[in-house]
Amino acid sequence: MSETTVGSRTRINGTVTGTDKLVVHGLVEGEVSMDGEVVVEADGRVEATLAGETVFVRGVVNGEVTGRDKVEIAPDGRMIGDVRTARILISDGAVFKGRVEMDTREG
Amino acid sequence: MADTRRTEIGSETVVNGNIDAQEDVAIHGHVEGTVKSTTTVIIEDDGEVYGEIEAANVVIAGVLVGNIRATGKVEVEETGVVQGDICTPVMVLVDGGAIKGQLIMDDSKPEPVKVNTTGAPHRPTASRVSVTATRPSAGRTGTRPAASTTRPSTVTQRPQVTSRPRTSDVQDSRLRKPAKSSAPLIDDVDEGQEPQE
Repeated sequence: MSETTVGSRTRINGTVTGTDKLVVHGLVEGEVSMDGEVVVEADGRVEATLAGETVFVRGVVNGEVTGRDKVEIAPDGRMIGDVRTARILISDGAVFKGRVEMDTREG
Repeated sequence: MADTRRTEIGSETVVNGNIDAQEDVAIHGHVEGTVKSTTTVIIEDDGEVYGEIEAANVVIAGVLVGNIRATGKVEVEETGVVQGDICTPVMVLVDGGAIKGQLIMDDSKPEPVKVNTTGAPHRPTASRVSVTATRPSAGRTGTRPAASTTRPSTVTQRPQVTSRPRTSDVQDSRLRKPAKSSAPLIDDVDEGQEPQE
């Protein structure tokens, strides 16, 4: 499986979808909906509705986040927006503002 | 992670919108929208772009439906397909590459076009070759046999056409053609005027 990388000096304005792993160093505005892992790196910023199998935030996310399996915010990550996920990890030092809705998957 | 200074759209990714980069952009997946870069945009052989491309350099090994505006060079590889207009100062089309659209080449690059006075030397080069082939006397210059030995090597290299010096050769010869056609016209006029005087 391949990987999509948004470089640190790149801005994407629109919808990003697919089954690749997505790594964001730059800026993504709009909507992100991936079937794989989404990583927002320390120099990355997502101003979008963000959905992935797992969402890992080291940088900044502004928007609604859905992690079908897991959402993780690293110590220097910042996340503002509602989260819907099965599991969530918020590290010591991370900034999070918003509601958390945990889907309890049964069966 | 080596590639933080580069954007790469994976083969299983669809971007619907605009990409604006100050670094290289490589596209394996599917993009609908404008792709801009201050450096190079590459559509890889598994990449497809439906939209405009604006960049310094553009390399197309995949499919582009849309126009290209480049300030440096456009290269269409043998697997590349472009359906749209291409506006660039330098253009390379590799054997097998396809273009359907207009090719507009800026003449902002001064070097190749203004050397119109050398319309004549083209014929002599052709005759020189035949002379060296028939007369191996070679007393005049030692360079001519050398030229004839380099010729076969260039012929064998042609199919591998990706090296840079070769592509610049192609550009030069292409740019000279229009220059050649305009130069004889001026020569004709001059010849016509001289007898009258």
